[in-house]
Amino acid sequence: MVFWTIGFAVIASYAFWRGAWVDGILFALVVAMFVVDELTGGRIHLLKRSVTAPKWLILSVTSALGALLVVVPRHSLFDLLGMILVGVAVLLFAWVPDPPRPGRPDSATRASAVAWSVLVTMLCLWEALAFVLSRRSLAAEQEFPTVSFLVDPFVSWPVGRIIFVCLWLLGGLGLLRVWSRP
Amino acid sequence: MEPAVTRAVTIAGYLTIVALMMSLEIHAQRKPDRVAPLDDMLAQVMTSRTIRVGIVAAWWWFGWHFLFASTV
Repeated sequence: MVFWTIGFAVIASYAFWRGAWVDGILFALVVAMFVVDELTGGRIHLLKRSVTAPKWLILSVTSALGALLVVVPRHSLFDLLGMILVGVAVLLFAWVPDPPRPGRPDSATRASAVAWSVLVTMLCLWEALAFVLSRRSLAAEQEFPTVSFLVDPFVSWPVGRIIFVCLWLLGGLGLLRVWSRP
Repeated sequence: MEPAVTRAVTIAGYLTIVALMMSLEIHAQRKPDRVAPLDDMLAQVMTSRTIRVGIVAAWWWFGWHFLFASTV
């Protein structure tokens, strides 16, 4: 839990430093939740009981939100609305975790978690370095492209946007383990 | 260093890390009792409510960052 708290605090600080206020506030809220939840022994109550819905409803709503995100102009008010709706819906579904189930040995889970944490941290640091170096001049943006700089043309392309939205939403459904629900 | 070379090195850095991630997952799929596959690991760590919400928040931010926020 300490690792997670420090990690998100670093990300929040970095976001504020580069002027990404929404990003910073989001991660700062997550850090605050970590701290409060840890200090109170998990007493943050958002919902009285878990939110459940049949798979077909989840997939229908997801498809509708995906269509909205694809069709509306990027950076528009409707785009913002779509993102907020996705965020709220996912938060409600994610609030109550699935019960523990028999899985891999603890050592295997720990090894995987450590390895993925190291790789994700490496990716974040490499991108942060590129961002810092790219601020030196306009030309430097080309020399030290950030992931955003590289991916933006793809997401600006209509087909690319469809692909990105689909993959992103599928990733979210995977995280919530929708496929294994009845 | 030439700008084109610097750009290539930067992009190669990203691709190297992605390749390492793919290699890790391939290794985990082959030896799941030594290194748990990503899906199994996430299923286990996300039984904690706070970690679950944190990961979901990171996922949402990823979409926000590329789909809505001005990234360049």
